[in-house]
Amino acid sequence: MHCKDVQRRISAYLDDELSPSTRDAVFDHLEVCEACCDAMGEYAFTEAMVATTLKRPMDAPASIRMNVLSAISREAQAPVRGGIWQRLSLRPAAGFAALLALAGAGWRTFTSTLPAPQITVSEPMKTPARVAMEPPVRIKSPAPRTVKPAMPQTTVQPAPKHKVAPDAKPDVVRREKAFTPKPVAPKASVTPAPSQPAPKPAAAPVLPAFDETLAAVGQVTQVTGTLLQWDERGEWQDFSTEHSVVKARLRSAEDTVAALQLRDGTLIKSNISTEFQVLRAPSRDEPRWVVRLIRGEILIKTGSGIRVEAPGLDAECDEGEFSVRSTDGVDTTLMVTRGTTTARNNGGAAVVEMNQATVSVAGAAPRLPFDVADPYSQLGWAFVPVAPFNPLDSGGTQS
Amino acid sequence: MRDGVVQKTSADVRDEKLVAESIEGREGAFSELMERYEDSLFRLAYYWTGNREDAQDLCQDCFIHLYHVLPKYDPHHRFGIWLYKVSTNHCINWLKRHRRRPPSMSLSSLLGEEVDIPDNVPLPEQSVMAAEDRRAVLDAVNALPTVYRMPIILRYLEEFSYKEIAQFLDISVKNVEIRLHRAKAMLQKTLKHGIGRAES
Repeated sequence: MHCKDVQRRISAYLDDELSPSTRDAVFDHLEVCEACCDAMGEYAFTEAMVATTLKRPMDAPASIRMNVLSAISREAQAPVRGGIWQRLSLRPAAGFAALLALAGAGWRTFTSTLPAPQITVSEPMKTPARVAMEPPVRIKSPAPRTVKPAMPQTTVQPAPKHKVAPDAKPDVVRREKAFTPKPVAPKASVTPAPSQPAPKPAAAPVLPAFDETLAAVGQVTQVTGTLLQWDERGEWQDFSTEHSVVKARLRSAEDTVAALQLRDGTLIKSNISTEFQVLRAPSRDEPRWVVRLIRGEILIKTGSGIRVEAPGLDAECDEGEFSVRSTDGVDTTLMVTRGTTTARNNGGAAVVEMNQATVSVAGAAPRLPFDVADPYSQLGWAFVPVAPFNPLDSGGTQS
Repeated sequence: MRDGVVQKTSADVRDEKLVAESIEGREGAFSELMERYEDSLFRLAYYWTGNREDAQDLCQDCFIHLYHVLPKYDPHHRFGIWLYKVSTNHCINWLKRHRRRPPSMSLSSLLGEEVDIPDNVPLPEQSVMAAEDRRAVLDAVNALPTVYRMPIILRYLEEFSYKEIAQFLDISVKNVEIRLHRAKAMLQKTLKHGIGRAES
């Protein structure tokens, strides 16, 4: 294959859209042609710039810098014989002090505390423990013995089956591709909440301008209270509804509660000093909002679907209302006040449906197997008979 | 690029400064440079190796190699592009030495993936892409002619395959490949020279 043939195929190569034989032929050429390798590098840079503007980046393991600096330091101090494997042989304990000295201001320790912004993550790459091999076990929680619901309850509403009108052009959403297999979620298309006007069917596919699309996906229709956003300069600034809420790291101010209404009607209310992040908007593969609770407590009201990821626990709800609280980022309490919420151990092994119940997850996420016969066992969970709390209406937290 | 002068972002200026300081041996300079590009390089390494462990080894290998060849960097070019070129060559040579072929995957698919990092382990914030770079990319995409902009939006925002784009736009798959190639070439030209306008 000649350089000209290779270079016009570089874009398709990076997109993995070539046939296997053509792909191999391109790579065979790259192995012997530095000019085409350079061209590949330039295209990869463009690819990274464009795609990273739209998506969240993959985070490198934190040990890379330490290992590299350690290797360079050892090279500088004593010539190393052997190949790269010897150079990269790790002695983290012995070299750590020297490493810190070398890194200087460029190194941040892992002991920094909030509000240093976290790079939020949810799913691991190819970690078998996260792969749900069995269909989720749905167990109706028994009537709580002493739990009293916070608000007057109605009967359990089954999750409505959302269907997009055949002619309706769905809101532009991002398709999130899972890196590891996940439990198959019930198929549901993204539709606005019933109170929202139905989308107008489009006669022909007309795409809005690029940045309008991006803003529309994460559009916030209303903010009450004081909500702050962590910006690129490393400061908390007032959150503006003109910005996309997706990926934004948000928190309510010290002595206020705040509420965020998303464009499909989903409501997120945050208690005082609560920090959370809207990780994803509904997409083709994951038709729910995905929100991460970092600390504090949030109340969710949704009619279109949401998943909240909290320390030790994930909670999914297609229609209903629930609160999640984790004031120390370790212990988590989930309280369902309306509808049905599915709670899942962060280990991915257990699924419990709850209605009008409270579950507390103490400490680190347990990794023990789930016993179908005894849903309270071996999980480190406890159904806590607690008094109802109205953290957001009353402005206070449960004592 | 205006009047033959490369327009540089603040990130470009910072990169050049860090390169110069790294060559001079200033403590922390190369570490900061790595911090700015380790995610990008890790993604690239993962793209060529297909697994996390090899990607980490290769990424470290690339950085050590970059450290030694820093004096060869020409400040007339954007550092990020130079880094990608050097690293891509290094990755392919690595595969060749290990007699391996790269896995079949698209680079852009990796750019939206997440990794599992334990809770309560705060990490340094990465902000390789400064706001002005992001703005430049958006402006460049918006400035593309519609015939090229739509495949880009469908590919990156909607993650359509070539076949799906072809069906959506009612064109052939080959045509999709050509349009995306040209669109990326135009974007590359804009981004290569920093803030500027995409040329038709």
